[in-house]
Amino acid sequence: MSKVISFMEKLGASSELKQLTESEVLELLKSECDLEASLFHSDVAHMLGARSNMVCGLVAAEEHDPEVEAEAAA
Amino acid sequence: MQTGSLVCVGTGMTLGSHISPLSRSYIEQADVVFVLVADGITEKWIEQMNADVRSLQPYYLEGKSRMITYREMVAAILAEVKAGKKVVGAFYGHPGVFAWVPHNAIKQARELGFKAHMEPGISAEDCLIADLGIDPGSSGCQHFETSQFMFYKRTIDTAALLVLWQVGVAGDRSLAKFTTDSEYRKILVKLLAQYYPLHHEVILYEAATLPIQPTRIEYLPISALPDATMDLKTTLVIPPSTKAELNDELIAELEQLVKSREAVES
Repeated sequence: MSKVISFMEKLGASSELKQLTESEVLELLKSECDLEASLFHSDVAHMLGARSNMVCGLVAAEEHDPEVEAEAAA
Repeated sequence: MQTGSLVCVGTGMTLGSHISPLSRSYIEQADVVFVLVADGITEKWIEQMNADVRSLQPYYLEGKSRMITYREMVAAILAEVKAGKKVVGAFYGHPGVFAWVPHNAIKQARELGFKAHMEPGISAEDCLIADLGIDPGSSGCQHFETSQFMFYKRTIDTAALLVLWQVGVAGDRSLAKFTTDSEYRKILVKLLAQYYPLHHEVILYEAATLPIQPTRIEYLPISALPDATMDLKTTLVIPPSTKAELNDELIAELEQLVKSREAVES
């Protein structure tokens, strides 16, 4: 599976590979990773056992804790 | 100075494309890496860089205030710093842009006497500027977290760009939702309508997190926002709707200054 990650990394870092069409990328994935795979995100994520539901917020509009405040008020 | 340390690094937005050599080196050399990125595949990528990579994802829970989640994340990071380890927090994009956790982890580590600093990354804003072909310097630019923009009375300059982050959770005071529905967005639209015509064209933007993914650039009128698809990754970009007016009084004052100096010199 690390081959697929390495492939993704190479794809992300290469100006040459960035020019390839989706079918050309798929061909390259098959030849480099020896895998019959699709480029659908969910398929790649499933193949790698990656989390599918990612949350990415890192900031809040206000710094208060509504749950803590509700408990304190009760 | 204590033996533990903390470095918060940015992984950039797109796997393989954006991480700096220095950030990667910090990840590879760390005793423990805490990771928070926007894609499960990117998380797997970071896992390949170090033997001890711990995801911060399990701290999120729908129905739990994100502020509690953020404090738990900081506590988990600091526990390893206090244990004397070389700790790295690897965060998607830039670790200091709209990111309470890295800023507070660094602040608290320093207060406890540990070495702590931040290494920048390519942020969603950086990608947005490149992908949309906009220059914040041409008209000026205002950035707000969307809910904060709604909760507080702000003065908006409609001659400048307005960028609203985390529009997918617009108006959620509980901080416990991962998305808010169209009723919340109708209130946002009502607020925006105080400044912009409802037909004003805006952009929903999402940077690509994987090299196999397209960037989302969706043009729509403000009136269509309530029914648009959004989540925590979505950013709302509102181009200027008016032209900036010259400040004639100030310009006259500056011209007077130049004239008075020329008079002294001659």
